[in-house]
Amino acid sequence: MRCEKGMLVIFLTIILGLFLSLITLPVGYYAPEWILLIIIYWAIAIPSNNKIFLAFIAGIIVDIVYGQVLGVSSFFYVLLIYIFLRLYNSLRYMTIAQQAVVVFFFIFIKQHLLVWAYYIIDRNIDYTALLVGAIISSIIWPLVYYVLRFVRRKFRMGGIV
Amino acid sequence: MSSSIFKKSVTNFYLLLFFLSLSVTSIVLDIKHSNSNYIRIVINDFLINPIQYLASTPSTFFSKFMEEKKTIEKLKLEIEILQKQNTAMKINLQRIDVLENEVSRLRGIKNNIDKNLKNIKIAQITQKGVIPNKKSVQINVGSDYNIKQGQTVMGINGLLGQIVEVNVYSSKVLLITDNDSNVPAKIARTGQQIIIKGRSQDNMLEVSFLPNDSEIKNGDLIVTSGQANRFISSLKIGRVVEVIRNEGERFSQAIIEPLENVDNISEVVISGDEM
Repeated sequence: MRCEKGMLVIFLTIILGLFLSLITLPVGYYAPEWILLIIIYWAIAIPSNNKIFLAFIAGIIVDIVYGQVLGVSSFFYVLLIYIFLRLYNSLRYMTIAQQAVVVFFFIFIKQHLLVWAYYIIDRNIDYTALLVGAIISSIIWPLVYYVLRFVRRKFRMGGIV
Repeated sequence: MSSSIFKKSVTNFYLLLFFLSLSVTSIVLDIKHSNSNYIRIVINDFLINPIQYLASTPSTFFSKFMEEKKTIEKLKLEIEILQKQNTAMKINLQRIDVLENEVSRLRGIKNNIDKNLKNIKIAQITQKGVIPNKKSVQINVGSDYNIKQGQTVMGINGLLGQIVEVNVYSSKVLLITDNDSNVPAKIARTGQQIIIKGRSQDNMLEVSFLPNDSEIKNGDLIVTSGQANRFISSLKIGRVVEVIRNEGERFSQAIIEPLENVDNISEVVISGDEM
């Protein structure tokens, strides 16, 4: 029962992320990747296999919001969340600033792979906007971290309080 | 979960492979059959559009609130202007009888063009900048009004863009001022065929590859040529404001100011199904 409640809360935070990304839609790719940051937090905080499924669904939603080819974001989200699920132990011992650097590093690589994927399927995408977006995402990371940690403690999710 | 602390990893590599292949499948399917993607339509209409409505509510509320704070003097001034316009219009109305005869005569000639403009639809702009980093708007009609991808969207003064994504209750329009928009057009005075490209940075249009001997000059009207069946023919696009002649180069450039500005209007006209 606790697990179901936990999934509901995670789902609601993703809806919140969707809300935020729709508000920031007019600035395009300069906006932080709210939904990705939220899933990364949950992957570190409560690591389990269903986060990969969550990443897939969230990627599909992001693709639809941004009008991208369906599946591009979900591909990279699944890959990133898998990596974060492997690394969660070391990430938990880092300070928030170090985490932000790691988040920036991975999103930076992800954006390059996105450009590469768009190159393969013959569409162009704003490169500088993507890089600035990665930097802004890592600046936003502490905010996402503390807010979601508050949510997690409030609802007593995931063993460790 | 007793041994979870010392577990090497909680993730299943095969699960990763499964979802990665699912993503690749969806990419391939989306590229191959981009017109009939029901997942996109369903999620757009039942999840994203309600949240988008919620997200845009505060801003519309504030703009309405500000509108109501218009002072009475301003309204009086407006009434005066409107009364003047009213008398002018009444005078113009007297000429309608004459014009009616003329119209019936001209209609015979214009039948060809009218066929395209018979079943037009009028839609409202609900949101701007809906595609990231592209000049785009969202309108409030979709496949429920039989809108199809590629239909021409225009304002009262001229061409605006074309439909690039159709959902059930909304669709997205790529404007001609976007960098990725190319419109086959012609100069109305000389009939020369040109291709017009958008310039996102200053909402202008440009002709990048204009032959040096072209007889283009400032103030020329540019209309759509209807080539390649992308846009309806003979729609106004804009007027030339600057011609840049490069003596050493092979091509000249021309800057065009669009007649229709999307910031000034709230309603758009969508062409009929046939091109």
